[in-house]
Amino acid sequence: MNTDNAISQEQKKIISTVGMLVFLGTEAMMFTTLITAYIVLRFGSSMWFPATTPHLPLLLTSINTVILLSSSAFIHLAQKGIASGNAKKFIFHLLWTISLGSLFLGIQAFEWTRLIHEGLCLKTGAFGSVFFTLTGFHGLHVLIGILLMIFLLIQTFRNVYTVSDHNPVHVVSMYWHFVDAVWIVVFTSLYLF
Amino acid sequence: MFEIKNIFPKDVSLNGHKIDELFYRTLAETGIAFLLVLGILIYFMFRYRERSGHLPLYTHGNRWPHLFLTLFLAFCVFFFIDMHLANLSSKVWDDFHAKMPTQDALQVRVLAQQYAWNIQYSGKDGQFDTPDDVITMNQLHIPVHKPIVVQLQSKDVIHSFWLPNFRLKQDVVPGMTQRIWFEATQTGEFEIACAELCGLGHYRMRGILTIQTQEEFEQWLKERGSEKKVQSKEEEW
Amino acid sequence: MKSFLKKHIFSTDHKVIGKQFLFTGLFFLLMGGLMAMIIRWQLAYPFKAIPLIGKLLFPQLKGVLAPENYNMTVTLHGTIMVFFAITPILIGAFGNFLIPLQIGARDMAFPKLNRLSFWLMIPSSLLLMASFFVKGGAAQAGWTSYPPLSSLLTPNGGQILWIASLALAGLSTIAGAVNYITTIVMLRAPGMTLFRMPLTMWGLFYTAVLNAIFVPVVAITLVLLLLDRIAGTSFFSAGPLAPSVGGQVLLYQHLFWAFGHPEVYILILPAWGIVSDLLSIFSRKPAFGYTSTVISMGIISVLSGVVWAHHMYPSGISGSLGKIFMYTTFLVSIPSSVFFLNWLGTLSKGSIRFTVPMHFCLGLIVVFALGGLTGIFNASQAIDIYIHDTYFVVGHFHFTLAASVLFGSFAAIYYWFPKMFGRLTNVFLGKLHFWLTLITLSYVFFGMFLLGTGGMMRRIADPTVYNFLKHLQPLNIKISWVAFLLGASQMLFVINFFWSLFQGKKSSNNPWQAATLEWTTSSPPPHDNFETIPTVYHGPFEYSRPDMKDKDWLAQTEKTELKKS
Repeated sequence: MNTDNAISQEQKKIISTVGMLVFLGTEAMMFTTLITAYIVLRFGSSMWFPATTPHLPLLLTSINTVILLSSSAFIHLAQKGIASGNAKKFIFHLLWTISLGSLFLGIQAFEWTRLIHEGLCLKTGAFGSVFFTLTGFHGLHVLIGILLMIFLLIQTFRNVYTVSDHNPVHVVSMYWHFVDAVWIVVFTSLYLF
Repeated sequence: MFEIKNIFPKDVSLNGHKIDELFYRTLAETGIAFLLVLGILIYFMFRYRERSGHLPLYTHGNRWPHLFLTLFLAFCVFFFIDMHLANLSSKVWDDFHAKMPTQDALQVRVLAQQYAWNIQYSGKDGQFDTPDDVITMNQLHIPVHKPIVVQLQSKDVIHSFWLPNFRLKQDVVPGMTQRIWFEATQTGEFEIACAELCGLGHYRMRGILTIQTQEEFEQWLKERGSEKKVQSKEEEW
Repeated sequence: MKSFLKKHIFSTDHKVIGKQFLFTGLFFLLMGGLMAMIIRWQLAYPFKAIPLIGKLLFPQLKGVLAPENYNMTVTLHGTIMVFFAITPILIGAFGNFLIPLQIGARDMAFPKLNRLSFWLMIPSSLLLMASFFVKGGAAQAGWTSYPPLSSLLTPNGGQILWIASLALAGLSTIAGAVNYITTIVMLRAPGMTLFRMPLTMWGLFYTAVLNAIFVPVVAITLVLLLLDRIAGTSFFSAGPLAPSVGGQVLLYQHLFWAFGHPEVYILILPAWGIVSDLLSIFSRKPAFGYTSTVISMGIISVLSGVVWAHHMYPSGISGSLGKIFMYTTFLVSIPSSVFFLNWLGTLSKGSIRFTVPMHFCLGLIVVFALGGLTGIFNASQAIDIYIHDTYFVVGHFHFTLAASVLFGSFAAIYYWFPKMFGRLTNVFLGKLHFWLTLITLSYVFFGMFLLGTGGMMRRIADPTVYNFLKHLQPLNIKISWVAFLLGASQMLFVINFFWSLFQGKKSSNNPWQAATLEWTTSSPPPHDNFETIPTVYHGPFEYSRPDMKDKDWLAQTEKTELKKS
């Protein structure tokens, strides 16, 4: 509860956290809807995976998964950097996160291109519809995350963040972890089942 | 407003009256509940209007007696009205849909399209999709006192096969094959309507249901069967 | 000019944003109402030229409505009323205006996000308006927009714009939900525990939670629909016209109604909360059963997520699935009865003041009782075989929405007008507005129960095509004329609202002698709401306590010695 005219820094941090949690809740519902649609379509269909459908590249995508998940470790380190006032540490680890995230997107784009060449596209029945929409939606969220991190970098170069006041870093970090967690669900349900 | 007598369309079906009876029962029970509430409200508005010398009762209504009374009344409504009506409804639904007559039923296929009902009979050989099939546009003839099984499919969008005089409707969903059944108790000419928005012609997607005696029906079927096949034409606006 | 822009356009002040939502919502209420008048004209006099505005709106046919235009009007009437009238008024305007004031905060948790939330409504509205002018016209598949009609009907650029418009409106709502939840959880004044908040706050809180959970569902569903339409995907496409295999038509309905049913509770929860508070204030006694009302509204919110398929009984789902949903739907009656009885408990042994807001609250009790009880007909799986997609359903949801939610909105507007604008409205016009609205509305929508019982289908441009409906036509005509009177009566509100805005008698801080926090500050409040953040000592319903001497109420900021009874 706020006790005076000004809200304390600690208070502001909790407020941003709560706000981001609610927002991530709405995002979780969006992905839940997509996954539900996928499950219903898959188990209601006798022709989900016709013989002519190109196979999903399990190996490459598994490697890609490791790449994305390790980027979470780096953003965590970056957060520790800014919390201890070490801007260099923050920038270094954030750049790693951005690079790994971009690499993930690059490999995704490569996979998409290959699959399209082999004949799988949005129009390839319910499977094609689900695959590209689910991975596409996730990829869009990764892209937004990367853009948010670039914004954090710019703000750092302008010396906006301090040890006690760096809520945007904290909040973007939550978002990034969420996007990674969603990937685990998407990857498992699309590639492993 | 109340000059409409016989507000329900004429019931010419075996099971339709069950829905009417359930409707009237629900009307009686909810009607009484509503009048009770209205009565209490009007009484309160009069009795407890602000006037000098009358102080309100200061209570938060959070004590056990209050809570008990409220919950008790709520559960009464739930068990005696809602659950009672739900159980009756369940039975009526089963009468309509759970027991599909198999033997002795006349099989008809209805293919719904924007904006007409294509009706198909199997003809003399009893097999569908053979040359002797009888196909009509919007004309459903059935014999009285005989179960009719209708298979419903759609050529394009969702429609809904609505027989008001049988109290029966079923959405016709593309990609699904549905089956409904009904039985007529009297002869006459009635209507088929579409009950799901299907486009600009939805309002005029009207069919005719002709209920005949067995002999009349067979005669009609024979006559239609020997006519040249009519090409189904889309109605023009 | 610069200060006008800053104060009114670029403001992050929740009170300004609340008013922006209010004016937007009222504008669209008028638009939606106009569409209702057009629908009623067409039903009474099918394919006769619409008087006065017909030639202007439909020049090609000299003022006659073509069937596809009728379908567009029906579609946009529903869409506008739900998303562009009620949502901005009850949730956008009153949520924004009241939450910081009633919990004792200076503003929302995220003021800039709040501003974005309103700004998103601008392109959203423009896209919707633009949809009339594109090739193929506006969306015409109903506000429910079922595929394959909505995904395969071509040309229909309006359907695409409709989806885009709703996506933006959805984002606006999600942003609002994030703000409302965070603000209520984090920014309550000292002493303002959750269980000392007015019930208006609880209604808005539950609404925000439901919005946060379910608006994303419809957002994705509409994206999938859009992909089916423009990218050849087959989420919801099946049957002969489907571009590829594997889609399920009914999947759309499940996903849509998974949102759609909670949505109707989203729309009414704020009204329930507001009425619960106002009944207490104008009976001069505490809200009866506050805790059980809070819990009931919570249970209803949870249940709202597990009843959706009662909209789909004859759609092709199995009878067993339908039965399950019938029983879950009936469960809702328990908590509904509890808070409804609590309303009666509040009135009982009170000292009722028949102010204009109180008129609307009492009216809401009547129309909501009727609307809610007719829900029992619709919930019944067997009766629904007959009444599904007939005017019986239309009557039911208009009593619960157009009547109850609208009455709640009017009660709120008349009640908080002094706080928002610093002036009082005209009492006589307000009461006349109420009575005319109640009487005409009751006739119109009760008449629809009769039409539905007679078998009249929804969304048909000309009932006289059918012999079995011809005997209902005189009733249709009567309903239409009373509906025109209903529409005209709203002019009393418009006149009262705008006249009072400029010429109304100036209001004191607390014209209603109410105990909640917003009345402790000036009318209208200063930019940062309170001189100092208030400290709260008790709940908001301390009216007519036996130990009160010079007045019959105690503001939440006034100390008290006595324990609650």
